[in-house]
Amino acid sequence: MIPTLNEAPNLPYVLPRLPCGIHEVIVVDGGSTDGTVAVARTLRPDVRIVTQVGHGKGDAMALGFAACSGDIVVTLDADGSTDPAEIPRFVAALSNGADFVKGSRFAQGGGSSDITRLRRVGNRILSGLVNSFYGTSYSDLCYGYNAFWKRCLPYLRVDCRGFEVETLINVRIAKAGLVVHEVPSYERNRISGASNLHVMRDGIRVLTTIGAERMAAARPRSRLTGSLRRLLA
Amino acid sequence: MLTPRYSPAFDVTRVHALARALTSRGVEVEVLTQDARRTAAARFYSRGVGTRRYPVPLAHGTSLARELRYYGGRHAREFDVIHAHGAHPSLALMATRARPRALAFTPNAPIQGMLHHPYSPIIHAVIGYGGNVLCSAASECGLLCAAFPRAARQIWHVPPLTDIECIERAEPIARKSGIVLSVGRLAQVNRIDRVIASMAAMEPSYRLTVIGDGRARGKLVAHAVDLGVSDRVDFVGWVPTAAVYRWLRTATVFVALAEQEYTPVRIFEAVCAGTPVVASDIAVHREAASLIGAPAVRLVSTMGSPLEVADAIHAATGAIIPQSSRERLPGNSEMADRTLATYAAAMDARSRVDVARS
Repeated sequence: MIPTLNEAPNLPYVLPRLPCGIHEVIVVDGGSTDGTVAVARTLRPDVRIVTQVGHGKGDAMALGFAACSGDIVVTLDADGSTDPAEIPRFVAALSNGADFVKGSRFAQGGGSSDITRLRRVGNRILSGLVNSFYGTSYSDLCYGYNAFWKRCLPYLRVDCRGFEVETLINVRIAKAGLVVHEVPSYERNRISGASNLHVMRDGIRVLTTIGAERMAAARPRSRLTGSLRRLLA
Repeated sequence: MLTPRYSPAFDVTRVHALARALTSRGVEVEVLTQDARRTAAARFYSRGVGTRRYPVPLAHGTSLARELRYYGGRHAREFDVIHAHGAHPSLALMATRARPRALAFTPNAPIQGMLHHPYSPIIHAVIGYGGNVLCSAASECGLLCAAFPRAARQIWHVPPLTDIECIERAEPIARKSGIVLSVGRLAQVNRIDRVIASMAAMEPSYRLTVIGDGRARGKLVAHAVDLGVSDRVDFVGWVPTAAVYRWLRTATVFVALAEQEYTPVRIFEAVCAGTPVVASDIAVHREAASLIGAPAVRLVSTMGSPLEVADAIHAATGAIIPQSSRERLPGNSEMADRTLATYAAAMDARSRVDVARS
């Protein structure tokens, strides 16, 4: 499942590298104006295009999850930073008993040529916060390369819009007690174009998400929980 | 018999059932208990069992009624055996300090916890006095024997009392959906949060009924709301034993995922009621599963995912408990006979101590 927004130059580096034997490829397009959909269809005639009406990565992922029909769902970025050739590693971890497999740039064997020092520090702080709240051992909270059994979807219940969606998913699977494995993943530079990620703004959204989910666990119907959720919407 | 708590449905509790079973064998039984809701002491007969009930000012777990302590201390030597039930520290210690002729103790708590503060003085006092400790599971006996190797003769395995007749007579409750049932104290150790989480992976036709109460209730309710399954989870609180039997007869699957357990009685009761069981893979449950066999009892790992629990519930749904599994359950007469044997052994051991001292 690949969310896209004006990624036409990057898709030729992503779709052809998908391993053989994939049941379906879903592209959730957020209204691209550079011919992303046409490029996707050319590269992969069997691709399923889901047109996003709303905005944001979270919204796109919610749509994509609803459209999935396979047993295993893999989320990929369309900008070429995540390598589809790593998919078998994720699937192997699922076959070995994991419910949810997280890619980690900071696990042994992983890495990133794209992450800045500020993002690295922020990621570490936020990962530590989630680990202390939920007893998890996440090493990379804000990375979108994941794979999970489709049966986990009821636990994800994606209801956010932005880049905090990865954090939301990680927190919710931790709260549900699902078995999570991390596998090393290498993040490359974006092939072309500019990222929509804004470090401070999205970092604050991630922090607010962590707080809202923590409050929801303690007092799910409190006014503060509702306020935090409305802030993110 | 000493028991720390009285409830309105006292005559269907296990202590009372044990008392009746012993009475039917010609043993004269008197039950001493306490009640935080009463202001006056009372003495009455309930289904042939004499009971003295004393008021206790606080419902706190360690409070002991003054009159109970006085009566127990004054009249201890009039009884052949004093049998204390429950991990209530004050009650059990009072029983040992009253210097009875013979002493038996049923912890009604996991032995693992009884070996640590603040419960360890109870076990030391009972064993030091020469009393017998009665455990519902052989694995619990094993733990105790490992901690007190010289006292192996004082540690007895007495199967739990299962009121087979009452359970089989209980009328199922009319229901429209599959019922997953959990019975027990709402505490972190009982892992009801795992059962609640598994509901998210199950069809909407399944509902979870949770019987019991405890400190973790608020968190569990919040957990159900947080996971979006609160409309399918019912917390009914504590209900009388007769109602529990009705729920057991109604349930599609009975779930017991505790990380620690001292008795397999709930599993036995579920099997008696014809309800398949999904249980955590701990020693007491393994013991029950090996006795009863598949498909009645399915074990899931204690550290596994809620999806594993959901799969086990699906697999157990509709499983028919063979008559051979029910026949393997220990009967009440076996339980009563073993209990009498422990009393005889305690009396014999105590008389030898008295002779040696004199």
